Amino acid sequence: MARPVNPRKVFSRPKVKGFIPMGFYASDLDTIYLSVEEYESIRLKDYMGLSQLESSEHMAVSRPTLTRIYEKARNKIAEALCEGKQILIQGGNVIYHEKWFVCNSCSSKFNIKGKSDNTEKCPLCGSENVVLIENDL
Amino acid sequence: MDNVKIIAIPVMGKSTDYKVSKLFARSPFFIIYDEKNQTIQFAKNDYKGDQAQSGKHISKLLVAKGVNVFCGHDIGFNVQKIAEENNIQLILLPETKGMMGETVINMIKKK
Ligand SMILES: [Zn+2]
Repeated sequence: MARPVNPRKVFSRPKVKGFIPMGFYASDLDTIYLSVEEYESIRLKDYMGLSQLESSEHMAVSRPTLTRIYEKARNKIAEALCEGKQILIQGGNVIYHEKWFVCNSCSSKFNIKGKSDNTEKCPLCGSENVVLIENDL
Repeated sequence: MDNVKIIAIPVMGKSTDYKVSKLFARSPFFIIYDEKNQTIQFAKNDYKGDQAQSGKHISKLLVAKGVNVFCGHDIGFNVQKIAEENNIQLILLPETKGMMGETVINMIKKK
């Protein structure tokens, strides 16, 4: 029996659900599915500029696993770019922390420990203008 | 119930005038801010060069110093794991470039 893999928790969720190609040859029928882990590997390595080792530590995976996830992500994005396919970011072996809020005043995000009655205040600026982040974008 | 927040903020040097570090675990220093007493201490990160385990080690050190809130721009999975095990609250700062340690403390003070 295959060993179950521990789901990884993430909170740096993508800002959007995906990308749509434009132009005559654009195809909204063909879709590339990029997992949240794959997205995260691109964010860490290419956007944040971390090394392979730093990225693997950040995601708590081995370096070979990180390389595999990253290569897969690069291949998928290249295919979408070159073949005019749309990209949807979803799925993957991840779960989100139970309750995360975003503050509309200072834009910070925070989690809640213990019970919450959803009348939270931002722990940074004290604003009550906070909203619960839903797991589905 | 423990309401006293002791907040760790990763900074690039041993002063509140330094920028908040991009990565929590790799930060050279941490401001440890006691919200109730409004006191500031610094913790040096001797693990920042430990390529595989810095997140785990520095989180445990901060927990041992009584910290119960981790506040930073980007907090890795190993730090998150220790945070979860120790009931630590996480605050993710907005992606504003060049945010100073002092700016964060002033925001907390003004609440
Ligand atoms: Zn706020």
